[in-house]
Amino acid sequence: MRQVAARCLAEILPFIALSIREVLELMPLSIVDDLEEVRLRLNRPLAVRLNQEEFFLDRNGGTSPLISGAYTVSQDDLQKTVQLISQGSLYAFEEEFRQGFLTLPGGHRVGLAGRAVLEGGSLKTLKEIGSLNFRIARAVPGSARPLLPYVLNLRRARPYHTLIVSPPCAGKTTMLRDLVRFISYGIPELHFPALTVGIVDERCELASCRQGVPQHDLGPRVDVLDHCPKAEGMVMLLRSMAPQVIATDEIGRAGDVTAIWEMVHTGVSVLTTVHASSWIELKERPHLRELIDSKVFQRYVFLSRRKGPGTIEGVWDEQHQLVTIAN
Amino acid sequence: MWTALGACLVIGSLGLTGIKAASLYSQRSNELRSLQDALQMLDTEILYAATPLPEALKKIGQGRGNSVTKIFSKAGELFGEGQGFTVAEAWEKALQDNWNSSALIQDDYAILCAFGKLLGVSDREEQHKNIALTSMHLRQEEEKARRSQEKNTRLWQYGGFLVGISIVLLLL
Repeated sequence: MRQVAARCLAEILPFIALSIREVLELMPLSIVDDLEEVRLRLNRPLAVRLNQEEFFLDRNGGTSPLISGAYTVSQDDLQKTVQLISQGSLYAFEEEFRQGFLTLPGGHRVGLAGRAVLEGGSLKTLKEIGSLNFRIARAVPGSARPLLPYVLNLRRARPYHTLIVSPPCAGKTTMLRDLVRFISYGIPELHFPALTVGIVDERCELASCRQGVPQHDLGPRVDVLDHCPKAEGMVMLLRSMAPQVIATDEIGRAGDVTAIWEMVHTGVSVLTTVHASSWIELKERPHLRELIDSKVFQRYVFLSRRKGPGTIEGVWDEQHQLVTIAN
Repeated sequence: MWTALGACLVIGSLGLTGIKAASLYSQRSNELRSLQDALQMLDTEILYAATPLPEALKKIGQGRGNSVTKIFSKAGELFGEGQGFTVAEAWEKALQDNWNSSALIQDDYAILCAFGKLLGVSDREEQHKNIALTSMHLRQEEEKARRSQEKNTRLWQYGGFLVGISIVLLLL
């Protein structure tokens, strides 16, 4: 685990200005283990998020909840970092700047905030970047293994239509990604064949493509439609790539629900996720209630952070009956 | 015999100096032309292919043999190495590194420096405008350089020898 954390940090360091890089390199390994985010805010202290809590970093890489003594991020630091993450080519990342984030090699993401430039009432791009948030992506291979007997229909050799439900930062995207990886490789010990998976990655988080290449291991049978709206993307993938399984992240809009209706009636298995922390919250989500009442999803996987990100609270079937107990 | 040899040496060396000075005029005009061609290529890479700068700059530097296009490849290398240079810094350093081998003058340096400061820091439209403006300035400099070349080349070519001959005649 410690090696994974150090590797993740090493992957983002080349994209950070030298002076901040030197501070981050001084961080003790015990901190690196828990590192979730590195935040650069103009003329404000350099911050890191460790286990959901934000701390400031001093020049020696030490953490403190206090602002005094913390390293202050300068205009030069921020400008250099923006150039490094965009390879000095803002024009090549126009869409990413419009979306407010870009993906780094290794699947890590950089969130951007600054002055919005509008054109015809809609966001054209961001200028004068004032905040950067490096979010460290840690793939957890094998995290979906406990789910496999419950979300795979072994008799039909297809996954059930599955909805992964979790509050933010509880590992639903990581879980879905690992599930896709298992399905794309095939699972010999369960005699489950490898299937073709189509991914509609609207938020560029599931496959984390950088210039067309998925930055996470998703297995050999995955086709990714990057930055594409989910509803259009699912229909497009179905026509163009004939997937056996379609995976997409964070459904919620009316168009997504309609597209899922279409998918489940074409013989494709749908794996997706949604933000909610309980059945009550889930049923209160507009548009989703219709899917739940119609028993479209055959499996509901609830996750939480109770024992760390990715804690499986249980798997329920379409009748809302628990098919596995919490770990 | 020694006198004749010395006279030949003086005339020859001053003559060659004149020829060299004359060739700098045409070299500068050619380099300004090459810079405009390279900028045109960069414009295509940015506007139509959205190629990231390190790759685009290296591609331009590899494409042509002219010494000034090395500025592009050197800037691409310096920035791509992750040594902490911004694009503007990498561009300026590449300019300085290749300056002595070129015939460009201070006015050209100022134009290219201003171009480097805006390189890569905006969207495609703005980059296109920056390239177009720089090309226009370089074209104006090229026209001036050509006029100056026509006026001065012959003067330097023959002048060197004539000065050499005059010195020899004075000394004899």
